[in-house]
Amino acid sequence: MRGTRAQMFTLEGVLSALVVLAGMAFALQAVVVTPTDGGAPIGSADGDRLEQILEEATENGSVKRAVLAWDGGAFDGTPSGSGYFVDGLPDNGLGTALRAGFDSSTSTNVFVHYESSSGPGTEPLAYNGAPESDAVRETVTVALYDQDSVYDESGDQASGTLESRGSGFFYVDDQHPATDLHAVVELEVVVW
Amino acid sequence: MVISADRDRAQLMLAGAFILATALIGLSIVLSAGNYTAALAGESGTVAQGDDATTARASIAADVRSYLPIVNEESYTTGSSEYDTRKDSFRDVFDLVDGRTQRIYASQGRVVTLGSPGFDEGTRIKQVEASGGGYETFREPGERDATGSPDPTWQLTNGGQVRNMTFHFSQLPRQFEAPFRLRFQPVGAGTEWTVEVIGQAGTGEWLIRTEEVGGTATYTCERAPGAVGEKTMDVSDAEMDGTYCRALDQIELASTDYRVIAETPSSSLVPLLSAKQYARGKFWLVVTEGDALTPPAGTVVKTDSDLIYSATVPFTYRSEAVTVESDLRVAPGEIE
Repeated sequence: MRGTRAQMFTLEGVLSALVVLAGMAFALQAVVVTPTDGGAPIGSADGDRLEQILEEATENGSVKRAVLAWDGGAFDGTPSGSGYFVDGLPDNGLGTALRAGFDSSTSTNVFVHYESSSGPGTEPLAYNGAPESDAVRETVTVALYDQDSVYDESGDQASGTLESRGSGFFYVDDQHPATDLHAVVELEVVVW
Repeated sequence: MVISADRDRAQLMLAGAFILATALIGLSIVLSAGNYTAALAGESGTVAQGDDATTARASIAADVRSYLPIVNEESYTTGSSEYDTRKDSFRDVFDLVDGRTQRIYASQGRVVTLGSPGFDEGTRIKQVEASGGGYETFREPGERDATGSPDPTWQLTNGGQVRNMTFHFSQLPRQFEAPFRLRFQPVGAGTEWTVEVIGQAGTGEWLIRTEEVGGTATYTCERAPGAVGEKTMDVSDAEMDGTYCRALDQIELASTDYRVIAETPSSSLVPLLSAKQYARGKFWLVVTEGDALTPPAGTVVKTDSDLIYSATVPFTYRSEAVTVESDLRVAPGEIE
């Protein structure tokens, strides 16, 4: 009688262990299925989307127009004193493409990196806070020529070119005065 | 004794259950960690490396596309229209672009290099500037010149590749019997087409009709009266006034070498047509060198040779997982 009872206890123990084990295995498996989700909308698919957005914006000239939208002291259309867009993106082709490509709950930072005679520099175009750990980052390079027009915030051509506006107008001066090349800059976009 | 044996057996089974549970949990963790690592590795391969090559390639292509018109126009306006001058400028600029691009991508663990560019030489055909500014209107074949003689038929190109073929009409022929007609004869294999344009620029009405020579295929696109203004027909992009035109899309300038001819209306009609019944406006195109023909004498068209028709830049992208090597050929449309 007592032996049967002990075996029953043992059987209960095994079954309990199996139940706990199954629960833990299921929980671990669920984490593995979505390793980077964490409830946030950014994941590998959104990295692909950022690539596509930047590729299209590069091909249709939106990236270049955004980089050239400079009013002499800041990116055109930015709030006075900041020099870059805060809590939003510019109302041009690049900004529209980024807004359309990502959920409104995401945030985006855009920077322009360049190399000048005084060393490397960075000009923020849009800053919306510190990125989170699941942020997606992508960069493209843009060659700027002396004959390139300057643009306004909405992507329309403004008067003058990098050459005609003269030294000191643009955030990076002519790095190659002997050629048509003004500078090569790098546009960085971070989305989270 | 019986009680002691049962107790030992129960304890052994309990210990066995614990060992089994611990082993299975450990196995589960190992498998999960393996899957997790595989998921991260796969994500890195597609996002950070594979597609990044296409973005890098697109950015270099955009750089070439925006520079070619500059290097062509620069020499065009200064009069120093020599291939070597333009090619040297292009090489100088893209040597610098190559160096800077290499440094940027190297900082991200990738190698992007541009090879020595190659060029297709070309010729631009467009109107001369009038003394008072602007451009003279072209004279359609068949329209009588100052001496009262109809101009001969134009032959714009003798084959080869054509890009940016654009006609900007300030006046369109008004009669279906005497449209403005272009003939596209393939030099090699391909379909011969005629494209006819009629309409009235003043009312905005126009019709484009493309017919297969010797065949039955006919395509038309038209716009009812409404918009007023001049009309721009971009054969290369198959657009009329910025709107897609399926009839023009049959002319595959990018893939077929055509001999392009503007034809005179039938001789019986010519005496009956007044000046207002001919097409007027301006046009321009770029054709590969050697395939352009001198326009008929007396027309207000000039050729500007020694243009770079297209540039080909060898492009290489290398990352830990991806290697892309391809020739990047760019032949952009030019701004008038």
